[in-house]
Amino acid sequence: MTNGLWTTSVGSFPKPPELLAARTEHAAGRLSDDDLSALERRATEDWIRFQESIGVDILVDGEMYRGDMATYFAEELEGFAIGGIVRAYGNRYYRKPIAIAPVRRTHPITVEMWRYAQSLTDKPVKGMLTGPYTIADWSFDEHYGSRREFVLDLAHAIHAEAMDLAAAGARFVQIDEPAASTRMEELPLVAEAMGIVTDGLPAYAITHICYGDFMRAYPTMLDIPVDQIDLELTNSDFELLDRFREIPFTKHVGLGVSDVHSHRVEAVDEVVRGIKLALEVLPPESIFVDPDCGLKTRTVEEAQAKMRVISDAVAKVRDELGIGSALPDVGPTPGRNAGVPVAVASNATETEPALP
Amino acid sequence: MFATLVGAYPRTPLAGQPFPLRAAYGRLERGEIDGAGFREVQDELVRELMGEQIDAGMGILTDGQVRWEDAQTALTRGLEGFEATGLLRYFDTNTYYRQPRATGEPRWTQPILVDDWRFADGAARQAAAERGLQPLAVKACLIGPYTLARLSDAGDLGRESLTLALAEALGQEVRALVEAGAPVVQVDENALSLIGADDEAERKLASEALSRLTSALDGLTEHHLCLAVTMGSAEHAGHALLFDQPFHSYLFDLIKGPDNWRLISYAPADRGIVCGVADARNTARDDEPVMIWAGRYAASLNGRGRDRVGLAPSTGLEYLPRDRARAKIQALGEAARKAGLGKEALGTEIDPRAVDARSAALGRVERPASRAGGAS
Repeated sequence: MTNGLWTTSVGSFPKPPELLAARTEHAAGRLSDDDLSALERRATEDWIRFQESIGVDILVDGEMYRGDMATYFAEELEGFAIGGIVRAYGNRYYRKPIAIAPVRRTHPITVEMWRYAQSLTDKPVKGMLTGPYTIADWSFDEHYGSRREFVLDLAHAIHAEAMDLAAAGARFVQIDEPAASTRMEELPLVAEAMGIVTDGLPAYAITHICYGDFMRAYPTMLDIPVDQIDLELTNSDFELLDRFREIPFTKHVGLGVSDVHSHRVEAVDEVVRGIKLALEVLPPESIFVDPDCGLKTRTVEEAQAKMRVISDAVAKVRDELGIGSALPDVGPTPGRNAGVPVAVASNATETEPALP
Repeated sequence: MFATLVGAYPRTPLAGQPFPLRAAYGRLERGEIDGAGFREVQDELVRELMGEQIDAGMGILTDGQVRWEDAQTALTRGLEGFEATGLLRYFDTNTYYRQPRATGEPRWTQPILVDDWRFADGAARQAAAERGLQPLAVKACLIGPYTLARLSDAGDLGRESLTLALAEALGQEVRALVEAGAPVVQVDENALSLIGADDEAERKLASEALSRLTSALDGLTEHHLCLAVTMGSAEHAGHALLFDQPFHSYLFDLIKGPDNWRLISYAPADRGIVCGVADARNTARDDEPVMIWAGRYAASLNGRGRDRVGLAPSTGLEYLPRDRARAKIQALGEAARKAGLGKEALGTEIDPRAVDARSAALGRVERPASRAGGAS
């Protein structure tokens, strides 16, 4: 039996109201670190239990202990100051880091929480990191004056963290690079930095890219040395899949099938449609199904409903097509360093998947 | 010489201050206040920002665009023929907008930004009066047709048709703003920076769009139209495209698009130039002598003179925390004041090596002999 269409999440889940309130109290100095940590762990356990209950294949800890994905790492790395708040969109704001000195990693950042989350389940829990290019791009630079130097210093820091996660037992390590598709001329820098992060990494490496100009970033993005690229596809109605017919996708794909910026919960058949569109150009054993992006901007109820729909849709397609859910013995794949296909197949078909 | 914002300013509070706008947004979403209640909170922020700009020494003010979800939605919400779709990154920033999709030919039916401009103008007058100052001009800003079409999904209409239809529609909005009394109307065409060297069709389309837009003002004599290009260099758009159009002034991003200096060298002397010289994308302090030099160089080109030159951030300041943005406009206001001084007076206020060729060549300060005292 073919196995595939594994379900997972991009990373973040919404924090429950009591944790949001506790973070405010903690920021104001009215709640201790230990008390906040206890609430974060409780919320993490709740999300692990929820994911198990709906049959998710590869779990995440939900990032109950993080605020912004770049700022969280900047707070833990040497060389950053944390600036004032800036707006991302709508009513969403974050504290933007400022590089004021050489960036260095002085201690493990995510390993302890990963260990805790993994201790709660027999299913694999992803190690979740923010990529060097994104941390640099989402920071101000008052020290380097060279984007490349800034990014590569961060790459060494994130590499050390990724290696520690793998040493702790993480089989899947995700290094998010949502900023990767921002500047086409810097995609080689994204790839160079990721090459440092994943160099010798004995785990299956994923990167997540979202809300950029995918049509221009493809196929160059395939040069990013990871085993899987996770893409937000619902937001653009899966238009990138057509490009895969022209230039084969050489890695595994994380298939975003749920719009995380909409309160509306998709119908199961909408998600089934997205999965089947992907199956027209990719084999099931190369597809991991998840939401477009982290679900932290939704309410707990909305996020859970969207995850249930994804889980139900995958079960429906698996059942219909006779696809199993057994996870492969993952590690680095041949696709990690495959890059852009040398010979572009102009007539790639669904029966000739271009996967390694 | 004056200082001005490009348009946007942080809607966030100064460090340690409450954030009523954010709270109000949440209350609006939960139905705890209505649109009018939310607007009152926005009004208060606009009043605050007018005072902040005046205190910083800005010469032409804006409302900071703090009511806008984003520059695209601010217009397409008021036009017929659009719907909002998925989130997209705005140029190379970490800010996002909902991409407008044309559902038919866009149509202007009523003024969209006029009430907001009127409020800002009143708030600016009040803030100036409270400080015992004369009223300052408040400019109205809006996205241009070429950029709006390029950032939208044109749907079945096609981008060329959408661009030209938007030129007609936005021309009506520009006219409405002028008729309402806006002393300066700034058209933001950041997508001109996306035109490549070989994009002749794009140049032609942009040129036609700007012609149609500006022709909406035919018959009106008392107005000032400014064309702003930030987020990059408009070099490949070409000087003919820009300067053959009847704009009275131009604002260029000289941080991300230093090649815009080449364009400025072609600008006729009767056109104003606003130099985007304070880096709006980074918190680091900008070099004052460089900002002053930029203003004075633009003034000297083609004998333009200092009265027709301004200093600005390189793009909207919304990408910075409020404290850093305030420091930027304070620096800009001070740089503009100094750039407007005569050479000797300027030499007393900054290191003369920055403005005096002889001092610079000698590598030491040689103060004018006529002046006793002076700066440190």
